[in-house]
Amino acid sequence: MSVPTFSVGDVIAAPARPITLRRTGWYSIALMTAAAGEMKPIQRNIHTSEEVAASQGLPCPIADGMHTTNWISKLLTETFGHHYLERGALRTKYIKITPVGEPITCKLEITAAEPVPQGVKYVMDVWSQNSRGTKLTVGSASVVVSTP
Amino acid sequence: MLGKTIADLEAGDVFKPVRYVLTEESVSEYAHGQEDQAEWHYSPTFPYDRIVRPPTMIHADKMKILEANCDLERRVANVHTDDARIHYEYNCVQHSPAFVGEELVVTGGIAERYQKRGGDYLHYWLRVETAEGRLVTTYDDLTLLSYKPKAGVK
Repeated sequence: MSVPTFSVGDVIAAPARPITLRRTGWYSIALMTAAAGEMKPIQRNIHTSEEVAASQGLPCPIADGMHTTNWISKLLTETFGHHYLERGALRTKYIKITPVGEPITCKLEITAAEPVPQGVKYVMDVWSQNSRGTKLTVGSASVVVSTP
Repeated sequence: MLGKTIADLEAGDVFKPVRYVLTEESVSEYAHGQEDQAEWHYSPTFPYDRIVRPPTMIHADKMKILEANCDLERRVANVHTDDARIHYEYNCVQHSPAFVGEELVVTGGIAERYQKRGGDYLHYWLRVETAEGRLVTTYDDLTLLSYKPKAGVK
């Protein structure tokens, strides 16, 4: 995959999407299936069940922190392709809860583009934000894009 | 087995390693769960001609190694404690791709446990290699242990 050249300040954004109960259910199946090594059903918890969330004093189910990390990681894969799988790093911190139903946008902003022996290393801030622009998950990432 | 729950883990604990063969089912289900439609997660395609896992599957490795070591709290087997956890920080470095059919070896342990602003934090470290010794992923994870549900609520 050829990767466009990016400059400091460039922002790459994914489309806004709500994290729905169906989506938290998909991730529950995904995580449990991968962890167990066999197909697993949705686990009922504060991410997937309104009843369980209410029993824990929450006004609504909340997304697993990994949900936004997964979406940011997907955006890195879409942007940098196999370079991210081979020499990529991602660090995220969950600074606010993500309520189910909230439209979420994930973004990358290039903060440095450094020449390295293999090609160029892009460093970036990453985050997810709600429709009001409030950041919910924040962090940083880097990818070395190798040149032939 | 450490004979512990997750809340019992201490700095210096080293987990018994987990070895497993990466399957198409686990990769494609995980990719679907994160709505990643890249074809290389579902069928052998360019540039590897092999099915490759998403980097964030390290989180499933964390669950695997906890399941194999914390026998008093096995979340995959639906054996829970009353303590709620909050995943606070994810920090993953990808060194090489992992492919379906490869045997992976997950090692890890507890780097530190500390109190900060009333919170009880557990810092995990994990390392994933192929059985042949190729480094795939290194990972640090910070989890807040001390979050408690409201009194009387389970």
